[in-house]
Formats: sequence, C-alpha cells, structure tokens
Amino acid sequence: MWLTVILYFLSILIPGWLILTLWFDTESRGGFKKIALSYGLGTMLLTTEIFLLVFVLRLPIKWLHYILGVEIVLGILLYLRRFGFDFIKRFKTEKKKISWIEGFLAFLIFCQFVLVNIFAWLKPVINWDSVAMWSFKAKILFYNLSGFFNPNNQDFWQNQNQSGYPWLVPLSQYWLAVLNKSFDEVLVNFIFVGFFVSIIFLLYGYLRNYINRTSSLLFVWLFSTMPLIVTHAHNAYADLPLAFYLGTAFILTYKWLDTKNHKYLILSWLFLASALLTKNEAIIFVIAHLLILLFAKRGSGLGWKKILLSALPALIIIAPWLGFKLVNKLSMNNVGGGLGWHPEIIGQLLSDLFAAASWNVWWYIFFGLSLLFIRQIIKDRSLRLVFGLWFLAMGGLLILYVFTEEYQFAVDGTALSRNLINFVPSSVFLTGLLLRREFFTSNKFFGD
Amino acid sequence: MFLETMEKLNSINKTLALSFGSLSTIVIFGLGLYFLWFIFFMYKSRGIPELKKINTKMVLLVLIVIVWLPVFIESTSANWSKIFKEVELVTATTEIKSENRLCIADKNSNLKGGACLMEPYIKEVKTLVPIGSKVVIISDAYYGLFLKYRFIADYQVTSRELADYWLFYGSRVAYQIDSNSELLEVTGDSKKNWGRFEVLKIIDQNRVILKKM
Repeated sequence: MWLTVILYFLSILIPGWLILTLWFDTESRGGFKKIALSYGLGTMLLTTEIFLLVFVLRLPIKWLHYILGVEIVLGILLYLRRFGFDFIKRFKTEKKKISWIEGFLAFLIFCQFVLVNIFAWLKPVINWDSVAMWSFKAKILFYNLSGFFNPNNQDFWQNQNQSGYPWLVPLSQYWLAVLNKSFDEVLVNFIFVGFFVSIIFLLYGYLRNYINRTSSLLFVWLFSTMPLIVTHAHNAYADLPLAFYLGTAFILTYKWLDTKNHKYLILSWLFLASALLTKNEAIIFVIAHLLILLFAKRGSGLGWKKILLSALPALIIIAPWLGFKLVNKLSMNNVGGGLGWHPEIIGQLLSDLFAAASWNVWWYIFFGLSLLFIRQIIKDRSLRLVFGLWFLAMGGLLILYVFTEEYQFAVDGTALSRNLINFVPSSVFLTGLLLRREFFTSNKFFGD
Repeated sequence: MFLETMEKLNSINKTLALSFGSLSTIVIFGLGLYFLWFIFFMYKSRGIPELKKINTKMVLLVLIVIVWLPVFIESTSANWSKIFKEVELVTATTEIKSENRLCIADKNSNLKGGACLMEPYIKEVKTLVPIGSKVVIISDAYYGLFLKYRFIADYQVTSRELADYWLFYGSRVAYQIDSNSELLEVTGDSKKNWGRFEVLKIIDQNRVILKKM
C-alpha cells in the first residue's frame, strides 16, 4: 500500500522534475523550490495525459504506463545529453550552521507535517464535496469506466454533480487508484498532504531569495499552523491544490517582474493553466493576471509577440479541456446564471477574514504590515504590481459573490472561507517580501 | 477559553474562538497586535536611545509570534489530543475509521444517528446482498450520495426499474408493503405497485433492505 503512494509521488515528481530541469532551469540552487514546482508540473502533465487518453482518445489507462515509461527514459536521456552526470552536484546545497531558533522552527514545522499525516491516515473521505464530486468522479472512473461514457448509464459523466468542473483533482485520485488497483478512502488524502508540503517548500524556497532563513522559517511556520490550512492539508477537496497553483503562479509572476527572466513568465502561465484545470474559479485570477500584465507591459519594452509566445505552452496544456468544454457546452458557472445585488456579503467576507479563527490572526498581520510599508510598496514597481494583482483578484472574488447567485455559498458558510485559502500562500510571500532588509534601512519607514 | 466546532458534513470551515462580549477572540488578538505595534512605534519615534538600538524587524516578528501563540497552542493541543484520543484507530480498518468520523459529524451536525449508523448499514448490505448485484438506493440527499459513493466499488447502482435490491435509508424515506409482499408506495414517485419483494432485513423503520422476487 505504501509502495503505491511512493510510486504515485515518483510518477509525478520525476516527469515534473525533468520538465523543470530541461526547460525551466531558472536557478541552479533550491532543492525545495524544485520539489514543489515538480509536484505541480508533474500533476498537471499526468492528469492532462489521462484526460487525453481516457476522455478524448478513449484508450485504456494501461497506455499511460507505457507513455510514462517513454517520457521518463526520454527525459533522462535528454538530461544526460545536456548536463552529463552532474546529477548529485545539482542537488548539493551549501551547508550553513543553523541557529537554535531555526532548528526549533524547523522542528515545529515538522510536527505540523507529522500531524497532517496522522490525520490523513485517520480520516477516510466523508465530507460532502469529496463524496459528491472530487473523489466520487475518480471512483466512477475506476469502477465503471464504460458507464462513465455511456449516456444511458446513471454514472454517465454529464449526469453527475457539477459536470462542468475541471478534472485535475479527480484524475489524480483516479491515477492513485489505478496504481493501488483499488480506490482507497485513506490513501487519497496523501495527495493533498503532497500539496501542503509543496506550498511549504515553495514558500520557504522563494522567501529565502529575499529574507533570511529565520524569517523564512517563521513565515512558513505561521502558514503551516493556520487552522483551516491544516484541515485542508488532509482533506480531499480541490481548494488546497488550487491555492498551490495560484500561489505558485503569483510568486513566479513576481520573480518575472523582479528578475526580467522570461522563463518565470512562461512557468507562471503554466501554473495558471493548471489552476484552471483544478477549479473554474481560477478564471478570476487569470483575469487579474492579464490586467496586471497590461500594466507590466507598459514601459517594459515587452512586445505582444513575446507575451503570446510565453503563454503558448499554457495554452497547449489547457486546450484539450477548453475544447472539451466547448464541444459539450459546459459552463463556467457553479450556479444558475443571472445577476443580483448582495452587499451583505461584504460583512460576511470581513467576518471570515477578521473574526473567524480559520487563519489565527494572519489577516491582521498581512493588512497591518501592508499599511505599515505602504510607501515602499508604492515606490517598488514589482511590489506595486503584485500587490495590485492580489487586490484585483480579491476584488474579483468579491464581485463574484456580491453580484451573482454564488452569494448563497457565502451565506450558508460553505465556500467563502475555503475560497480565501487561494489568497493565503501569496499573502505569506508578500508579507515576507515586506520584511526585506533594505526596507528597514529606509528613512521613510513608518514611524522612523 | 476556546470552542472548536469542526467535522460537519456540509462545511469544513474552522471555527475556534469564543467571544469576549460581542467581539470574537480573534478580533481581540488582532487589535491587540496593532496596539502593541503602536506602542512600540510611539516610543521609538520619541527617540528613546535604548529603543533606537533595537532591531525593528525583530520586534515586529516577536510581537507577531506572541499574539499568534494562544490560538496556535489551543488549535495544536486540540489536534494532538484528538489524535491521542483516537490512537487505537491507527491500526483500525477504513470502515471503523469512517464510522468514527461519521459519528463525530453526526453529533456536531445534530443528525440524530443518521450519519453514525451508515457504516453498520453498509456492512449489513454487504452481508446480505451479493457483490455485483443491481441495487437502488432510496435515501435522503447526503445519505444517498454517501451510500452510492461507498457502493460503487461492489454494486451496480442503478434505477428503480432495473434494480434487484432496494436499499432504504433515512428518516425522510417512506414505503409500504402489503400482506402479499408487494411494494406499493415509495418516496418520490407516483407508481403504485413495484411488484413483490422479499424483506431481507428491517434494521429499523428507516433502514430496510428488500429483494425483488
């Protein structure tokens, strides 16, 4: 059973790592970042392949074993041709002595990791959305594949709840079931532990580019102990995977703005595409990214041709799903169409941010420090743009709830808090950026 | 000081804090953090020499940690005590773990046993109904979904017309069998006679397993 989980992670991490190393080797160092990005890219690649095989070509899943084998062998050959046998060297990191406080913080984060693993082991799938959708679809695919594509069968995919929802999360679970030869109600939770660990690695890896190790570990610890994050770390919902993809796209966009390295933009698009393959609500963030890109383009000498070319890999990845949606007339809507006016949601949002204990006092920290460093944010172009991106996306979410029938999920307390998870990794990264040393030597720092 | 409401079926939002008067504890802590920052900057701007030497970033972070600790300690100790309470489940089967979760959710959502009794019902069905049979589930919304979710692996869950076994579960389910073993009335349809049925098991009036004859 555990071999299955190991095999699952390897089947995702190896292709993901090969893609990253062969085409997006943006940094020579940073094992943590690479593992996180590999998990995201690998999951995207694998589920896209399953989608093409099973949904489009209607071929048996066993073909994926061959495809994966060919991919891995081809990737390794390409790797050896390009880098030779410096595999070990590329993983080596500089060893620095860690202080007792860093050791203690690392220990606390490790305790959180142990905690979510035990919960994952103790809590088989029972929650509504998993039973109705995220795990249910994977189970149908595994146990009744013929019925899944038969319009006369009860299990026909279009007869199911939210048939217009994307497939990344159910297909990940389906793949684990294929490897395990049965759908295991407990094992699927570990896919989500994988996303939790990936966000931790991602935040630590990228925060380390800007702030010291102690502060990076502290922010990662804050993230890993937020009550709702801990809950979703072992829960078979799509919210944490979506938060991972959106958070990664956000951080990579900042890296692109900061370093002008075009590969970061290509990667950012890829992660946004993956977010669209995870949940429809990612469209809000895609629109926010596009708007910010318009601002970023101004004065940067960046041509449309280059921007479109950078989006090409992401468009290739998302094309089969969008085509499928178009052919089957699937909607982006979660509820019926029609506009409304529900200003009461603003109070609900404020309550979910500042009064619920889902986040401890995180939003006080984030908004407080943002106000404290407002001058630095305005002065620094990259920072200004990513803060703009964050607030645009938040505005988009608010518009969705205030003006559409989605408001009902905020009123009944089932969705709004979960939607806020999408903003947490990016807000942790932004807060870390605000604590860069240069901001504390500035004369214009608030209060100095 | 805190109250944890968790493990419901329809929502997994985490609510932990009690309130101080009309304010939630989180609001108190959040405003407390701002107050501490304000005091620090106020004294720092007055030019007190000792405070000038202090690393501003470190003070901001230390104050964050101090305010973070109460909810962290509460939430972490609640989580670990839950684990210690359920330590015997580490080696239990998935069904037992599932039953434990469902019973907690049942209690938290005040479902009066509806969720808690599902696993024993599933076990009963698996004993009485041969694997691979065509079954129909007649049940309330969540229970129906959950039972279908659990039966996919072993049975062909189908329509009333095609099913050989009828599985009734839930308080909003109504049926009537006459003296000739004929099923006359079932929740949600107008058809009066569904044919003759053998009663495989009546666990209670809300949980019945029938076989079409």
